[in-house]
Amino acid sequence: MSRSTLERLAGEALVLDGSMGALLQGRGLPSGYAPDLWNLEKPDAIEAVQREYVKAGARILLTNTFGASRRRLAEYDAEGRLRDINAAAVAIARRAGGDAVLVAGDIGPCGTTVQPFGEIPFQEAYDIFHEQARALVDAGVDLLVIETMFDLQEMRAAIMACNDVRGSVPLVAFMTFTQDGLTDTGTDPVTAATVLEGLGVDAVGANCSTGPEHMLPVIRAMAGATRLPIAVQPNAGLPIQKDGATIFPMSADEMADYVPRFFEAGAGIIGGCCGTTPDYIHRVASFLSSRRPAARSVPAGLRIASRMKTVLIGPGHPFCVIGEKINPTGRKKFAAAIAEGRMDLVVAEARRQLEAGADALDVNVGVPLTDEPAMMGKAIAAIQNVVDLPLVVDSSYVEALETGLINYPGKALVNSINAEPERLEAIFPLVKRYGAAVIALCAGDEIPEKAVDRLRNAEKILRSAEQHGVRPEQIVFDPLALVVSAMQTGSAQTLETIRLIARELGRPTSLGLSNVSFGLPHRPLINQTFLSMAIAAGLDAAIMSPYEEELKQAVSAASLFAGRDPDCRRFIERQTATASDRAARAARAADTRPRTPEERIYESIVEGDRDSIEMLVREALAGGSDPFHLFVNVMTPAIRHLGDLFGARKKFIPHLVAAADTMKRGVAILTPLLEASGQVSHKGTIVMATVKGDIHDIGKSVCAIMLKNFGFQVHDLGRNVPMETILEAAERERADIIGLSALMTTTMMQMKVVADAVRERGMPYKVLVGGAVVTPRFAAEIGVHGYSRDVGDCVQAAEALLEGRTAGLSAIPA
Amino acid sequence: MHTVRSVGERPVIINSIPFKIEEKRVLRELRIPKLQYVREMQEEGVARAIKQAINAAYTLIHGRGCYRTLRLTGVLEDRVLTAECDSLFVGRNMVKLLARCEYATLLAVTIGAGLEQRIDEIKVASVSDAYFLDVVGGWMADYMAEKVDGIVQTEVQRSGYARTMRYSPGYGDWDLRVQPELLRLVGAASIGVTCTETCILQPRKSVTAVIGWERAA
Repeated sequence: MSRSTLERLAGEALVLDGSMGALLQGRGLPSGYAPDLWNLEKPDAIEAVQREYVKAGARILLTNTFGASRRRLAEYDAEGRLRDINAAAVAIARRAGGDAVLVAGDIGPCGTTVQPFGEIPFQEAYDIFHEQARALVDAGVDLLVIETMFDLQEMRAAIMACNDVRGSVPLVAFMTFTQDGLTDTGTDPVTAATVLEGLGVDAVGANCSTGPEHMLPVIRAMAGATRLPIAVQPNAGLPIQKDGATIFPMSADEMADYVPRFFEAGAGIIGGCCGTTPDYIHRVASFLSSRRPAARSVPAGLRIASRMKTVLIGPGHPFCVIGEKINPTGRKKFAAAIAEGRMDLVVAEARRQLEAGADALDVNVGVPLTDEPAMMGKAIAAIQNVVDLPLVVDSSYVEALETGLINYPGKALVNSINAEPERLEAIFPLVKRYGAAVIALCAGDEIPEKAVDRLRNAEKILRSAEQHGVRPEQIVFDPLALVVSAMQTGSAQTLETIRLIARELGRPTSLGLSNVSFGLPHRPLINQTFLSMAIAAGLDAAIMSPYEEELKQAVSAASLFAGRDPDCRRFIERQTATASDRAARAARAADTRPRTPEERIYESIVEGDRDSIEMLVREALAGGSDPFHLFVNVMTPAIRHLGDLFGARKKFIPHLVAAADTMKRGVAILTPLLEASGQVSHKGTIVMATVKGDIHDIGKSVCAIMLKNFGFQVHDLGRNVPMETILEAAERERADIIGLSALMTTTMMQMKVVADAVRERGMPYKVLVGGAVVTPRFAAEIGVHGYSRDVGDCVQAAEALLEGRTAGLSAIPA
Repeated sequence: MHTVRSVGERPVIINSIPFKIEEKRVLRELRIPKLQYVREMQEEGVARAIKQAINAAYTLIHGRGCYRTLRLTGVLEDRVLTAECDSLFVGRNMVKLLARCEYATLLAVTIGAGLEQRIDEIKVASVSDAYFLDVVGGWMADYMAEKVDGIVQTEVQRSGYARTMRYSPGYGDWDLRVQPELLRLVGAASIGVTCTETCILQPRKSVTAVIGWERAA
């Protein structure tokens, strides 16, 4: 039966059944009750619904077991009856369908989210699915169906669990997509098809969530990414509530209009999900009855994928740059961070390579005397969170590879395998189990000198792959780049190996590039030259630095001659972007008029260039500039000018902040000199604080810096400061102004507490308030003297208060 | 069919939200108009500092979230009731938001404590670095809320309902003092979110909110 089931999935147009829930509700299933329990409690009702679908033409019946897994049944205290519920469902479907109908054991999501995205560990999810799949297979299903999955990692756990129990029972896997064509966790249909096919399912598809209109492009994209049979189960539109019931807006006729379009898009297995009816299934059956799914062509090449992106490696596809920089070899700080279990440098390197244009990232965290499997797991989880590039899991240790593969919600590339029997036996089972691809070094226990011997190793690896159930499409060969200074003929053999593997085996190749130039001067030139030659020979990918501009230009230009850049589009785009950067730099450097140090200090403040200000101030002082003059006639006008630009909306808050920080660094050099010469004159004294109960203070800290730059004596008391502490500080420092900040509605009333105390105790201080929730009207209502909107007007407001005026207050309506 | 059943006693927990820090959004948060990328800024020093903050944020942010859906049991003049609590959805705005709803999903998200710890470490030596990091963190807390919001929206729509806008304590007349109750009900401790006596969330870069489930017309 199973063999023929597989053949039928691949070769026939098959009709799936439709919605179960609504029809059961029509037979009395209470809202919120688990339909799965009716397999034991009301089997006749289930059978009656399924008979309706058989009568309508369905040739695959899904068992009523969508929620019949441990965690979901536990919500009804029914987990102890899991096997009975699943077995009963299979028996009911068999009775309803007879011999002509295939019974598909239906598995839905486990009821929570799976790590790294979600809550429960991967193994726990696997165990949940394994238990249900075991029960369904033991009960004699013809195939298994996993459906309505929105998280690729949960789907991986479900597929792996099914693979471990299903033997020759076929498996169909459905993801569910939202109206934007992505799953809730950002997976596109091509990537879903890529990852699911890698894991060895027999058909892929989409179900639930949306109506047929939005599902059509999803199916089209899937069909273009895999030769596997495609299945589809759309909803009858998005549901609505009417008269206390959930209803689906699309009629059977409207739904049926889409069936030919699904078929044309590549779907050969068609049914319905929520809201669909036997009437609709009848129309599906009528259309499919005389049809056979057409063979589809999909782009050849090895596919690797992250959760959100698929990359193809092979002839005709863009050359794949695999970033090599996540590797602790020879990098002390990087290695130390990994040894401490810190992933910050790993993440930073991943982001940097992404921005430099890498297409995939090699991840090697092999630091001696560390727990490499644990570190690999952490690194993969951390990187996949912030980078959407496919990852290459790189380790000599099988345990580290496996931890990386478990934690990776995509189709990884394993680095690497070679022709040694022990390595083949250890790695291929992992590649198969986790649906990965693998880099296969054309080496055995040693590297053959001749290309033809490297090819023999490749052939040996392919034979072993077949024995382990790994398809050739999952393998990219490394023809082995050797150090050219050690053996020049070796590089020629490498190039020949690339040609041989392409010609004799039809497989893609990838090289580790950087070592080829080891020991020689001008390594970038050597790498660039060899890479161009290798691309000309047919190389498809390289593990290399994505940071070297010359290398990337070599890839870009060589790809033109290797048929990897149709219409030269990528090359032109790259050159246009480079030219644009050059032009921007040239424009910035256009004004090359010599400037005095004082002019450069002025500019550095206006431009917020804090890296150069200290050097410039020292230079100016060394050249004879007076400290007081620098402060009053250079820096202060600069920051005032910036304030004017801010007022004219030509500069914005970030510029003020950066300028304030820049000026602060310059003033820090001047201050001891000003104090020594007695030239310090303070405008006024301000005690600043974030009020009691509030813990936000960045905005206040920026204002404090700005006020200091303008010559105010500022005492910043920090955050969460009680009223008495503020008043004591104001008295001690003989303050002119108390500046208060609050960011929350619950804490802003503390401003009133302080203002009232100042007033009631007859204290001489002016009170100035500000913060995100504070308004001019609130300031007026609590009776303070001034309100500052932001860092852009805090100086003006303080100056106004010193002059006896109020600042920024709204009139209070009578 | 519900893929995640957030109606129930247990919240749905998301332990690690994948994220991308969009430069355009950061620039808008900084009130810099029109530009798409930081590199388009004319002031190299400011651009360098903002870019540095974004890169640092990638290593400091750990997005987590949780949500739980409550069945609404009644509407009074000043509040909306649930079986679990009658003092959560209090005020005119809550009544206006939830009066026609059958369910309400509570959510809590955070970017973790790493980023604000770094801010506290550097704010004295480099207030501009601290400021830029603070702005990036603020936006990313909203980003995490949007991500969880999207997942909740799918569940709402799949169940045949329309969603209301997302509404947070402290806005309108929804008193910030409901935070402890909201955090308890949504199980926010499981993602490390608590609040101070003055109802300020900790980590500070966290968001709580409610989304109502209305009958779709």
